[in-house]
Order: sequence, then structure tokens, then C-alpha cells
Amino acid sequence: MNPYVLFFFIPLSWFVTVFMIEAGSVVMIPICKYENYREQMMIMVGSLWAIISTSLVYLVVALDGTFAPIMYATGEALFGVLLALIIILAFHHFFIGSAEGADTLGKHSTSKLYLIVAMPFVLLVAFLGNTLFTSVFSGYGIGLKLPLTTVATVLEKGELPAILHSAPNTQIFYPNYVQMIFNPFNWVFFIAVVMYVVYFTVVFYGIKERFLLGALALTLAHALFLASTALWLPLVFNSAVGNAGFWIFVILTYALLYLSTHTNIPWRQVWIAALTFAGGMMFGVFTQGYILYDTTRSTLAPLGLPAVPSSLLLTVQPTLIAGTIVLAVAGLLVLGGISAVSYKLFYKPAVKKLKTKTETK
Amino acid sequence: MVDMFVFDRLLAAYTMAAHMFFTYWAMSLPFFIVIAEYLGYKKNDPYYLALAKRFAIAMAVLFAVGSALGAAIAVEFITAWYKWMFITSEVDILPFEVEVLAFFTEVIFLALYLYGWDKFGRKAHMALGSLIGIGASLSGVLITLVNSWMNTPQGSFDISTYLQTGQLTDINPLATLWPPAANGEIPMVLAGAWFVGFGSLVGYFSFRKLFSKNLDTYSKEYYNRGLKLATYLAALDAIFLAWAGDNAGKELYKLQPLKFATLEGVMQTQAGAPMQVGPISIPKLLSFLTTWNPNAVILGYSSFVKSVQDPIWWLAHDAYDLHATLGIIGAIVMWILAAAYLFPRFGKTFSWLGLDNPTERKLPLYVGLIIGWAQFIAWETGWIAAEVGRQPFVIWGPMVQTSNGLYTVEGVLLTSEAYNPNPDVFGIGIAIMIAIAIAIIATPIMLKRLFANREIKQDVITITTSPPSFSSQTPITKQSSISSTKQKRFGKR
Repeated sequence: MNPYVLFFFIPLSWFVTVFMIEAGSVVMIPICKYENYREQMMIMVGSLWAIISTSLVYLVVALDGTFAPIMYATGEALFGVLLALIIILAFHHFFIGSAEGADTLGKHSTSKLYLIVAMPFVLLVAFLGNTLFTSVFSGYGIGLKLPLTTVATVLEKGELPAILHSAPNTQIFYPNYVQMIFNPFNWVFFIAVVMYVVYFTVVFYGIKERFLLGALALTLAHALFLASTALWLPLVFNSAVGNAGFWIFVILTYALLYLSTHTNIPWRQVWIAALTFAGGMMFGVFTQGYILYDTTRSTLAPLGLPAVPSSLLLTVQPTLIAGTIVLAVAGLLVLGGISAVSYKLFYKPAVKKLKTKTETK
Repeated sequence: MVDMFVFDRLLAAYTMAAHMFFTYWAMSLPFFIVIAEYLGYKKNDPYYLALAKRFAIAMAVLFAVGSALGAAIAVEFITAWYKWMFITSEVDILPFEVEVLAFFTEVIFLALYLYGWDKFGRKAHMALGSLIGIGASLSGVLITLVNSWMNTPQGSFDISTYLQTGQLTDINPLATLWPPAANGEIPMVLAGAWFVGFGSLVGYFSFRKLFSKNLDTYSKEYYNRGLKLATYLAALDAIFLAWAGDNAGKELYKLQPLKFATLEGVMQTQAGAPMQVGPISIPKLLSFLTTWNPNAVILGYSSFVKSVQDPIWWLAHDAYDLHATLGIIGAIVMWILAAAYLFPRFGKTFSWLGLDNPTERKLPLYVGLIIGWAQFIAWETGWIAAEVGRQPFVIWGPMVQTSNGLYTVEGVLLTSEAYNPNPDVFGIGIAIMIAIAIAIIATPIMLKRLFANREIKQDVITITTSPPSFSSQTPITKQSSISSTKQKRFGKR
């Protein structure tokens, strides 16, 4: 497998994990007695701003730096969803941030109102993000103006700059929005993601009274992830079911659900975040570095390729090597440094304050 | 039918202009805050500490909105300008990647600074604040390096091979970390951003002094200190700015004489070229300022083939004139105001201009308000001049002489080849523009609400009675010394 794929999946998994923590705050309202967890939740949301503000930037720059030719796909096929996503994401952050601000000022009902208003935006962000993800890996909605073999040859020979230079108006991809949004893989995968967010939230906050809901959501999430990949990304499905690591991951998700809701397990939030991050990374490994799977596999099978190898989309070597070193250091900073600072400066003192307040009561 | 070539440019310009509105504060506010903090400790002055604390909150809000707009631009790059981004990602992505490091460093130090008032020693806390400024300035430098590369990509890859075959060969990513144009652009951006930041603070404090009703003594003292500090910093930076501006012009002429001709509006190649500012023409000045030789030949549009001449040169030229004029006036005003603060005798000499008491007299306050905020216009017009002046290319190339003696530019990528022609960008682009407008309008409202129940007096008294404690040092302001300082100060009044 092309190891550079990890330079996309590390920031992606990180972004997804952080998004789940934030989205979880909105999921809290329908799934549990909100008031019981409000303070914990607000501390968490208030501690996240530094991580949130850096995770998306890291993802975009890592994508730019590692897979330069993919700019053609983002500019010609995915631009609509990407630009819509950035607008919805802004509103999503605004409402959740406002909810946190209102709560800090003691305006709890206003805060709850903001969270309710944020709900459709959270769902939309999740849906649009999911659409981008499923499109890239399945190929749904990403139309090709040129024959696939021609595109593959152009990419393999590194002739994309030559095309840009000699025929700058050449279009390679085009968007098929209906297929991109309404394909069943996208919806089944999206429901699985939503179910996983419900499970994530139950574990993250240790909501004992929703243990069964968490178990049901997790089971559904696993079932839907497996079913959708079995039908539309068999490469990922086969890699997963044949890999012991995946089954250990499944067992760990259930074990963590039980432990976090029935015992006072230390570092609960860290475990679930780490597990989710690991899940994202595993998906990346199971793709084996292939993209546009479902729409290209029949054409590429005679060539002995299961789909389009993402190595065709790598940035040229000198730039890639220099960039990888920087991205690795940036990864350490964003995943390690900023998380540590956020924990030490925002989360820990706030929890301490909350404990003192509860004890005083 | 919307012309997508025009719309994509408008969208990028609009988003970038909005983002840049926050960048100069990001680069200058940390230094203003840290110096205020330092003066607070050094002079045992709670007003300076109040300035540091209150502006640190404002800095956090401005940082949040600015970085959100930065993310919007990053996504626009890979969607509306994907062909440009493709070439940039292949050759020039390193400054962007290093910029991410600088941005993350900035975030870490911002968090440590904001929440570290009671957790670090004084020096450590001020060092953290300085590191925010250094991180932010470094971010600005690195993004500008991308711009410098777009102006002078020479050295980062084999341009002649690319122009002949379209192949990207001999790529040297390290060369993108200091392209030739950076010599002129980097000092200009740093000096300019700091000057606009400090200048707009002068404008803000002047506005408060002029228009806030029923100012109590605490607020007056607070604004006076802010006004003086911002003026001193702007005046100091103006020295750097004056050199940077001169250097940028000379470097530009050396590297991109065509762009220079666009900005200066030089149509005819001539020896002893005059400086043209609006209707005024000063003989030989342009030649002199560009080369130190009043009779030097300056290349004009007449020496270049038509196809590489900027079709909207007048926009770049007018924007450049406005930028330079406002910058020069700004520097002179800041020097005069700073001199009036520093040398009372100088101020008294010009008492008819109100310089004998510039923090209270209306004329200097109005001038500070107008010229201070006008630096924002100087900043944006400077950027318009730089971007429009690069047309018709988005990525330049070397200048070569054609067989008929005229010069041409072997540009790497034309702007008209780099945009996204898909009309679907229009609707979403309009939505982005609206969202950005909401963010910009919401920012001052949010700031106002943040400070709504937090009067200056309250902050000053809180600092006076319970100064921030520091783990390894004595408290910053002993109650008695603060009281005596206050008594002395208020006694004078």
C-alpha cells in the first residue's frame, strides 16, 4: 500500500474525531437527560476551540501537499460540496460556540436553544463530509470527461502539468450531484456515522442510563459499515473481515462502552477518541490506497488493478519528501501539542472547578 | 450569464480582503499587548495591564474569525482556483506546510498566553505573548513567500523546460522558501502589517477619546496610554516602513520592470522618468528613487509586447498611488504625533495644531482617527495593486527579449487559464460572500457584547487591588505603590 495515504488519513481521522466530540454535544439533547451532563459537555466544547481551529487547516494542507493532482477532482467535481461544507461548517461552529458562550454567561436555556438550532447544521456537515468521503472512495458522482485509461496513463506518466500547459481548458472530471448525493452507499454509510456518533457520545460522557442505546447504536454502526462496504467497497470489507485488528477493534468498542458506562474508568474520553482515531486509520489501511473503487473496478480489472491507485495522484517526489517531514512535525504539534495544551489549560482546570462547585453544593 | 472569470476573481478578492482585514491585527496586536504588559510591570501601572488584558480578549476573538476566513480561502483555492493550486502544490507547497507549523505554534502560544496570566512568571508570560506575535508574523511571511514565488518562480523548477514541454523538472522545494521577490515583499508586508495594526489602534483610541460620552478618569487614563503607546509603535515602525517601501520599489524594478511600469503608470520608456501622482508630475524623481540615478532609463509599456501588458493597469496604478500616499501621510502623521508626545517643546511650538496636548485637543485626535484608520485602506489598496499589477499572469516567469527588440514575460500560468469556469461556483460563491459578511458584521457586535458589562474602571480597580499573581515572582503591583502612583497622577490633574 502507498504509505503516503496515511498522510491523508492521519489528519482526516483527527478531524473526524474532533468533529464527533463537538457533534456529540448536540446529540446529547435528544438522547439523554441533557441537564445532567450540561456542565461536562460545555467544558468539553469550551476546551476544543484550539483543536478545532487547527484540525481542518491541517487536513486541507496535508491533502494539498500530498496529493497535488487531486486538485483537479476537488476543482471540477467536488467543489460544490466542498464550498457548501465550508459555509455550513461556519454556521455549525458559530451556533455551538454561541451555545458555549451563553452557558458561560449563565444563560442555560439560550444555550440549549443554540444547540437545537445547531442540530441541522451538524447533520449537514456530517452528511456533506460523508458525501465527499464516499465519493472519493466509491467514485459516485465523480464523472470522467476522458476515458479512464487515458486519465490513468496521463497520471502515471506525470503528464497533468503538460496538459495544463498545452490545453489549459481541458476538463477531466465533472460533478454528477444526483449520483453523488443520492447513491445508497452514501446514505447507508451516513446512517452508520450518525449511529457511531451516538455511541461515541454515550461513551465519551459515560451516560450509564443510555448503555443500551449505545450498544444498539454501536451494533447498527458496525453492521451498516460492514454492509455498505461489502456491497460497494468490497476491497475494504474483505480487508477488514480478514484482519484480526478489525475484530479486536470491534471488541474494544463494546468493552469500552461497558467500562465507561458501568465503571469509573480513568481517561474515558482519551480511550474513545483514540479508538475512533484508530478506526479512521484502519479504514485508510483497508482501502489499500485505492480510490474511485466502485465506478472504476470493472474497467481496470483487465489491467489487474482493483481500482485507481492513489499513488497516481501523489505530488512530485522532491516536493512530497520535503513536505512530508514538515507535515509529520505539524502532525505532532496538532495532535500532541495542541491537545496537551487544551487538556492542561482548558479541560483540567474547568473540571477541577466543577468538582469544587459540586462539593460546595 | 455570469462571466465566471470575473466572478472567481471577485470571490477570491472578496474573501482575501476579508481575511486580510484580520491579519494585520493578528500580526501587530500581540506586540502591542506584550509591550503594554511590560510597561505595566515596569511602571507599576494598572492601566497598561488593563490594556494588555482587555486587548488579549479582543485578540482571541479576532484570531478566531481570521482563522475561520483563512480556512475559507484554503477551500476556495482547491475549488475555484484548482489549476493554480495544482501547480502550487507540485512546486511551492512547502511554505504553506511550514505556515501550518507557524499557525499551530501561534495557537499554542495564544492559548498559553490567554490562560497563563496566573500560571507563569512575568517574563515567561511576556515571552509567550511575543511568540504569538512572532508566530503570526511568520505565518504572514510564509504566505507572502507563496506570493513571492508567484511573482518570481525562477530557481524552484526548470521554467524553460516547462514552457517547452509542460514537464515539471528540476524541482527544488527549498528554493520556494526564499524566492527572489521575497527580498522586497517580506520587509514590506511585515512593516506594513505592523503599521496598519498600530495605526488602526491610534484610530480606535482617538475615536474613543472623541466620541465616548461621559468618560471617567479611569477611561481617559486608559485611552491616553493606549493612544500614546500605539502612536510610538506606529512611529517606530514607520522608520522600517519607509525603508521597506523604498526597497520594495527598487527590488520590483530589478525583478519585474513590467509590473513596476504598471504600478507607476509608466507608458513610455524614458530616461529621467518623472514621478506621476495624480495630476502632479515631478521630473526625474521616479528614475532617481528607483536607481539613485535621476537620468536612468525606466522601462515603460512601450518596451513590452502587448500581450503581457496588464489590461486593467489603471486599477493597479490608482490603487498603488492611494496606497503609497496614505502610507507616506500615515508615517509623517505618526512621527509628528510621537514627537509631540516625546518632546513637549516641539508640541508647544505647534500649539496652533493642538500638538501641545495631543491626547486632548480635537485636531490631533481627528487626524489620528482619520489617518489611523486610513491605513486600513492603504493595506487593502496595496494588496489590490500587488495582485492586479501581476495580471495577466497568476504565476509569472522570466522576462526575455523578442526578435523585434521588445520584451515579453514567459509566464507560467495565465489567470485566464487558472480559474474554475463552472457556473455552479456562482451560487455557492454568493452564499460564501454572505456568510463572510455576516462574520465581519458579527465580530464588532460580539466584541461589544463581550465588553458590555466590563467597564475599564472595573478592570483597572481589579488589577490594582488583586494584581495577577506569578508563581516565582513578587506581585507585579504593590498596593501602596499603585496607590501612590495613582495619587501622583491624579493629583496633577
